[in-house]
Amino acid sequence: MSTTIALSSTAKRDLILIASILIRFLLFQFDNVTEILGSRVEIVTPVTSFRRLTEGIYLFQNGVPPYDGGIFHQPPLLLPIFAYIPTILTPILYTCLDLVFAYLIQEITRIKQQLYKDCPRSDGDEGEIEPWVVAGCYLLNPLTIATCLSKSTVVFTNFAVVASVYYAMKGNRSYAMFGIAMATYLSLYPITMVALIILLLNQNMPGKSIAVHCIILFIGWLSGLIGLSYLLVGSWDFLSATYGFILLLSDLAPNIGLFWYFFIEMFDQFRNFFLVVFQLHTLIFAAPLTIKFRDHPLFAVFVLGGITAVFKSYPSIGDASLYIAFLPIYSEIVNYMRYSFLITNIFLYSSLLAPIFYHLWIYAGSGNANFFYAITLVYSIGNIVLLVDATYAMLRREFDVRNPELKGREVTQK
Amino acid sequence: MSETDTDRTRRLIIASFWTVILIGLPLWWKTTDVYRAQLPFTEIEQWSRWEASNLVFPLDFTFYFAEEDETPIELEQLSENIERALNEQFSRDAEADGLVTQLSVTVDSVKWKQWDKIVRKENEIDVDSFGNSMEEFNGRYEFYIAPGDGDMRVNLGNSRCAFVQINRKDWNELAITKILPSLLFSFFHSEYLLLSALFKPPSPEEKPNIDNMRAMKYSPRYQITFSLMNACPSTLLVDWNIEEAVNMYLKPFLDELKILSEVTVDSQVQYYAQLTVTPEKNENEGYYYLRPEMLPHFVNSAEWNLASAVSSYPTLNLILYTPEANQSPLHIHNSKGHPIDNNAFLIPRWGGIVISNPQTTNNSYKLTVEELKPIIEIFISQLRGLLGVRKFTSDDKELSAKVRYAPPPSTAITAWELDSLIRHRTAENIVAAISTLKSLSQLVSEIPNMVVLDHIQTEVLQALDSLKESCENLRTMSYVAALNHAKQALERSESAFFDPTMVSMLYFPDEHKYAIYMPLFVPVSVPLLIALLREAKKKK
Repeated sequence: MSTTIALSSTAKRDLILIASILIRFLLFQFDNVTEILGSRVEIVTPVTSFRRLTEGIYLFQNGVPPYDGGIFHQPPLLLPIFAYIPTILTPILYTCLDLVFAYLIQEITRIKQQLYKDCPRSDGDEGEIEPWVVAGCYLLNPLTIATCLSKSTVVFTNFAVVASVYYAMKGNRSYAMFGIAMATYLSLYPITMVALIILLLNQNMPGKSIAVHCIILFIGWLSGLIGLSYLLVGSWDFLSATYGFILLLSDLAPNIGLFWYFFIEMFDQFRNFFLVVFQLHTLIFAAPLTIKFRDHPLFAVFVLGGITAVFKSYPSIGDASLYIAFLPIYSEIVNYMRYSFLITNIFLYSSLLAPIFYHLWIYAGSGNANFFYAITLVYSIGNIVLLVDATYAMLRREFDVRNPELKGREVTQK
Repeated sequence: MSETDTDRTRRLIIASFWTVILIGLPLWWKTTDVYRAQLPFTEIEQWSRWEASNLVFPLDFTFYFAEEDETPIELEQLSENIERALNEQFSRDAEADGLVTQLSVTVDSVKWKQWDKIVRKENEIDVDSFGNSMEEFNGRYEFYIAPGDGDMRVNLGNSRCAFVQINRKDWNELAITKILPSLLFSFFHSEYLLLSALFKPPSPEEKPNIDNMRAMKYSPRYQITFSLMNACPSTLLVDWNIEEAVNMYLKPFLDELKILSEVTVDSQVQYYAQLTVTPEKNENEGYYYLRPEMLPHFVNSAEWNLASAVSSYPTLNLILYTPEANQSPLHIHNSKGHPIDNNAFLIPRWGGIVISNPQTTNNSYKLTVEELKPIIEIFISQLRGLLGVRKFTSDDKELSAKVRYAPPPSTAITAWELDSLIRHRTAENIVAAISTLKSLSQLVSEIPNMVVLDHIQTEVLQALDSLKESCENLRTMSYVAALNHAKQALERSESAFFDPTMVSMLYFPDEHKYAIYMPLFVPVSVPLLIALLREAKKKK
């Protein structure tokens, strides 16, 4: 006979909450942990590094234009946040952002379940996921924890995206557009999600055309933020130092993305052309996904977030932690996914081998750049397989719901 | 969702993919466009086919005849006659046909009595004091002609003046129109030969000119390094007062050459400088010697540190070598086995070496400025060869005239020599600039993928302008200006030719482009094209 300690779901939720807070606070106490995580190329990039931000803040506080040093490449509005918050409070700020993110994703799940509760469902569906489980998945995701401890500023972008989605689902047009404008301001790529946020807003009030109003709001907020930045640093240098830096790939230091190796090898004459091609990769999927999933914009946010995490110029695992947070919301598609085992293994494999190969290349000298680049390819393939598989599962489930009689049969698109 | 609805969705999706691709197409065109600034190909072609037929190196001669009561010279018609004879003689010469000769002659008479006495004062004539220095410039020469009793003799000054004494029996117009042109021809002919050789394509059977082989390639700057090579400082420590010696003896020479090239001088002393050849001993006379065939191995390039880190300009090495005690005194033998006087030799296009055997019983010795004077003199004569200075002499062995040269000036170069060198270097630079431009235009037209940036175009245009200016200045006898423009033309054409942006795409065949585009775009385009074709089929 075995004794099982049955915990109520609220108790479990509290336990997870306390555990995740404890993990963060505990690990923040070890300076070398945050130091190591804050310098890993897999976790921080030139556009999210907290160490580079510190440099910018130092220059800013001493009256030197922060972008003159050539090290700092983040938007100017991050400067006053950290300039006036005592260093002691920084870990608390990062932990709080994660907790609020978790709360928002939990609320998003709840609203989504509310919205689709009248939709027909497949008979293969299990019961709906508890919203707090989605939050727990985010909080205990090792990618999230590592990103939080590294004090990477991608956390702010992620938070802005999720807040925007949350307010969009609540129907608050102004806040939702501010959120996505903020995310765009912070790292440029979320601009592809603007249409999805508008679709999410539209779900609340079907029939009304709000697109024009929303776009005006978006442009207004974005120009407001950029104008504020101009007032703060007093010159337009920050545009080329941040967005120019992202678009033109001035830093070829290795990261887990696809750009650096390719552009190290690239012939100079074709560099501009392939920059355009690579940057268009993130853009080309925005419109088709929005059209295809116009009934499920939340799912499209997940897919587009994943595409951004793979194809952006300086990706990190923080970008992956954002889109993976949206996956458990659609718990109903998990049964339709075919490669869950493969995907799990690819992620484990690459997170184990990436640091090893990086060490072999840079420190031990017994490997070369190809070792690390191979692992970044594996990581990207893992992400893409996950996206493709989830998209397949979503579409197949839709199909099955509409055609219950064809369930389990082979379906091909003609 | 109805059937038509899904169709519409699919079409929209395909359209949205193609929209992004269509946006990408102009960007493709724009970003891979090979930027080629337009080069003046036809103009360069014209210059290169020019073959110097328009190049002129005009000279202007003024003859001052002594006004004598006994047999006065009729000046009328004389200048035209001499000029005609002179030009005929130059242009008759088949070898010099490349150049247009433009020699003008002016005649005048000067009261004989005034310098009668000076001339009588035998051979020591200060010819340079005759000239009117205000009217002197490169290309304009003055000859003072007087009748005399003996053979014809010529006194050549250091500036642009000469005194010619003609036998009294030849003191008539007819003889003079024969004598003077052949005299000038004998002096200037060799220079014209050299100039016209520059503009001709080199022929293999032509024997190389020794003067040319000795001289360095022209550069607007040179570096001269004086090295004192002390073979064994433990027995004899040698030092020298080189700075003062250079300032005193070499500087006037370098100052004269400043028009042509800037020269910087530095010096060094090296100890334990070992030879790679072992001198042989002459037992009878008790000295050591080097045979001529040993001299090419004299410089120990493996151990002597002669490369200058100071500048990237061509370096001329002048080495003073003091042998070690058990090899001294050291002399150089000529091919007949006799020691040569100056104990020095020259390495063409590299530098010169002087061997010095200081006579001292002390174990340290300092070469004073006075002791360095003969050594620097040898160095200067070597430098003249290395920098392309040619002695201004008559090349006609049959010329019956006795030629006397004024004592060498402290500058070690006479105006005649400097003028000739300036004309030669100008022609050389013009030819080099044209051939560089020609190579550039060939390269650019042969390789269509080569990027030609705006500054290359600017350099080429400026080089052509400088060439034009230079030729224009030659025509008006402004030789120094012509030289400067020719220098600029050469520098600009070379900086265009050797520009780093020119070489980046030197070799980039079209197959490389396929290799660049195919791996990404072929796989991507297959599903896009198939979807498009399918939609098109459905529409039908």
